[in-house]
Amino acid sequence: MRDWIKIILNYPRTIIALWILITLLIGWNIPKLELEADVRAMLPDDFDIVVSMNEMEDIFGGSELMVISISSADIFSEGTLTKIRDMSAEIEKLPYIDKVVSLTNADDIKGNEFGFEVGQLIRDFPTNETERQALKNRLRENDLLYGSIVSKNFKNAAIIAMLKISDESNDDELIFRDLDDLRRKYENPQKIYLAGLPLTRREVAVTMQGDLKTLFPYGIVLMILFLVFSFRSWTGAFLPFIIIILVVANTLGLMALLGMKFTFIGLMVPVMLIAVTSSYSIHIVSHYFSECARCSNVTNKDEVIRSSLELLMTPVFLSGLTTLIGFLSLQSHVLPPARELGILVSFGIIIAFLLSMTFLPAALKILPFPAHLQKTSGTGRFDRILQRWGEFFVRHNIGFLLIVGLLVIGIATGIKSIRVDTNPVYFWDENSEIRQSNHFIDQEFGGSSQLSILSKGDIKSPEFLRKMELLSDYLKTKEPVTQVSSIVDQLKLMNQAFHGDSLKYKAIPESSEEIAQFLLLYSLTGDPEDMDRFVDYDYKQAQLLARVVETGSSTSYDLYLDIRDYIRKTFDRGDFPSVTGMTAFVGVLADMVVRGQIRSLIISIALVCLATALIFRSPLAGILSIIPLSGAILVIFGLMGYLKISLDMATVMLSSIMIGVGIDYTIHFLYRCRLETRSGKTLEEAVPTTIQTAGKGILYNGLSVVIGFSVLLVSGFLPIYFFGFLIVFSIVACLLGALTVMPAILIITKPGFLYRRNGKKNAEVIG
Amino acid sequence: MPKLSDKNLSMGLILVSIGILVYWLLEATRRAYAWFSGLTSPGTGWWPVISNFCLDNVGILIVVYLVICLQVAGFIEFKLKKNFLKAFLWSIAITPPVTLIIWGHRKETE
Repeated sequence: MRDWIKIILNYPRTIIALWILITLLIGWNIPKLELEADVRAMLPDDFDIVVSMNEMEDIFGGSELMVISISSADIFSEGTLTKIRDMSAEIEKLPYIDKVVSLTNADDIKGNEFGFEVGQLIRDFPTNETERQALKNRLRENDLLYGSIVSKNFKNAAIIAMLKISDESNDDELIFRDLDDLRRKYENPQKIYLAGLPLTRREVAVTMQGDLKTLFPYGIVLMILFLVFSFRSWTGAFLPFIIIILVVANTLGLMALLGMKFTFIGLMVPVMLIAVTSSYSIHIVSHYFSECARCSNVTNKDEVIRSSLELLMTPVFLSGLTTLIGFLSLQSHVLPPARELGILVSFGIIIAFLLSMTFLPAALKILPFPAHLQKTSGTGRFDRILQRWGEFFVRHNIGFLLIVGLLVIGIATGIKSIRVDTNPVYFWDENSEIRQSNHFIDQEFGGSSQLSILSKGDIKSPEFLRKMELLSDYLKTKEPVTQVSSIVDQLKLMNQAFHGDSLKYKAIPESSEEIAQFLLLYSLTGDPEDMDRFVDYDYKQAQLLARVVETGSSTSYDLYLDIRDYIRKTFDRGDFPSVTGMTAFVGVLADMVVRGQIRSLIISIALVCLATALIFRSPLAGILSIIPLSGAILVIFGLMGYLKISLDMATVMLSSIMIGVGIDYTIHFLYRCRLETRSGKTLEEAVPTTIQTAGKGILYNGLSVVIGFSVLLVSGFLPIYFFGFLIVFSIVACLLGALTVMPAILIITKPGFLYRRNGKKNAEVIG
Repeated sequence: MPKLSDKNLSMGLILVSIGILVYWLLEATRRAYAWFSGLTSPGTGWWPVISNFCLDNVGILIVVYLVICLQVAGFIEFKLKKNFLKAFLWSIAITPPVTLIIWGHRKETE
């Protein structure tokens, strides 16, 4: 180690220049970083639900749709119908639109002397009440249109625009601009709402851009102010600041090199790096300054730097290691963005450690001593408060632990109320335009989300169609499902029209021949492409589409499981091989969030327990160290339940991160306490002394992390905002756990590892 | 001897870094010019675009301003031997150049 420090002190300029060059080379690709606003990126490409969604789109075309809703006092007035007709025509001309369905262009199957013909539902606008009533009756009879393009109370109409392709090659910003222009043109007195996945994606992208411009800069601003007020010297403020910049540049450079994109979770990477990695350099600079202040005439700078590094390398390494464990446990998640975040922040932690051990001492060697060093005073008021704090736990440990235990159990009861939510619409406040539009369309038109079920068999056979009808009827009994459409409904309408519009014949035709005849007739007078969304060219595969209202991700997952279960029990294997669509996706994602949470929680706790046991060479140390952490975890999840904060793609990472960061304080405390007991003090003497000495460093360290994470509270995404709130709260909980619960536990248990010597030098000081 | 080789080695590395930085700056300037030009329309000058850019990137501008204040306060701390924190707060309040002028003048009168 001495050789390595010697190299740094002999070649400080080379070390600094080398780091700058490395950063420039790694950071070369940063400008190429891209944003990923598609919610599908949350699951791996080879995941079943993603594969089946892509498969369905390949067979039946894009499942993405836009719903443009028009609200009017009289939806059948000439003015409103003219607007709907003109808007539909304009939307149809847009290059990315595949098909538009609205009141003014919807097809209707009517019987005639040749059987039936497909014509427009509204040929001439109704001019009197009788014609309006007739139109309403006609709409009520058509399951495909009633409640879909016109609300069941006839006060709102919808234009449904289906997109040609549904991947990121669609320019969501362009779609928004085009539709927003149309809205401005046609709105008033009618009210127009826009909803659909492309608009949600566009809103994600806009919010991400806003967050990119605020989160990292404001994080840096807070950290600069914190460093300036803490060190009151350029060296103390600038060196940790420049290390943060180098860490962020290297990490984002790696992100670009690995071809990763900024998802809305990835936005937190720079902020996490500021919060987590700043403490290593702060520790070293702080110790260097206190050494300089202690010796009024420091002549041998090399010696001060060397002693600081020798003293702090192990604790800084251990602190980095435990944080690394927390972030690496995110690898157990199924969600790729959470895994990517784990890799990137772990890399940042390693870079921060290396910079603190090489770049920082090299810079300290070159720079002059600070002009005004704060002299360390004797015993100040704060020291006395900390001393009394420690003495309190010596006297009242059992009572304190009982009260804290009861409090933790009380708050933890909220865990049962935790909700899981992965729907991108809930990324924003309920007063936001996007939430309000979606809510309106949910209420009036049965939702803008879909479930698609693939059917495989002879689609022209009445037996198979009856199976589809059975499934369709089952779907209709499910509360979140508002409408089910498939080729079965089309054939029923054809059969009814063929038999003089008699309701008795609104059923599946009796024979395959009849079905083939109807389909031929339809292709003669209607648009054959109408069927493309429901059936493939060979009539071997068909799609059942169910529109679903937004009811929360857990309900979506229950619905998905229920349908799969029903299919498995009721039909032959292979009849309905996949259940997919956005509703299923959101549900599966919610399940992945819960599983990932449990898995990463267990792994991170086990690893941190193991690491602490190894550091102190005692299994008891590992067990004791996780007690305050477990309490903090119970409190945080209990609070989430009571405050109705959902477990989502961001908050799911909470436990791993809080364990990785929060364990530092406990380890620092135990380390210092062991030094005190080994110096001959009793535990009753060692605990107050530890709180007075290491406690200050722990509070200082915790404060820098809290300040770093607090900037997440300005995020435009609700999940990130809540993550910021919870992580700040959890760090404070871990801090208090280490400085209150841990001292009380130590006094009661008097663990042997605090007294035993293991042959190591006794000169390690932390904090 | 290590001091000499340290200077030579670091000089070589710094020259490579400066080369990369110059390339970056030129590229960034070219892109920024193209981007700004794309935003300006005939009849409107550069100022509306620049002011929109500033409003859109307030966070980054605050960071740049604070870093400049930090450097000025560092200069005052080391060269003029004055209190760093005061210099930093003054330069935030009255801008870095004004702080430099006032504190430099004060040092001269001392």
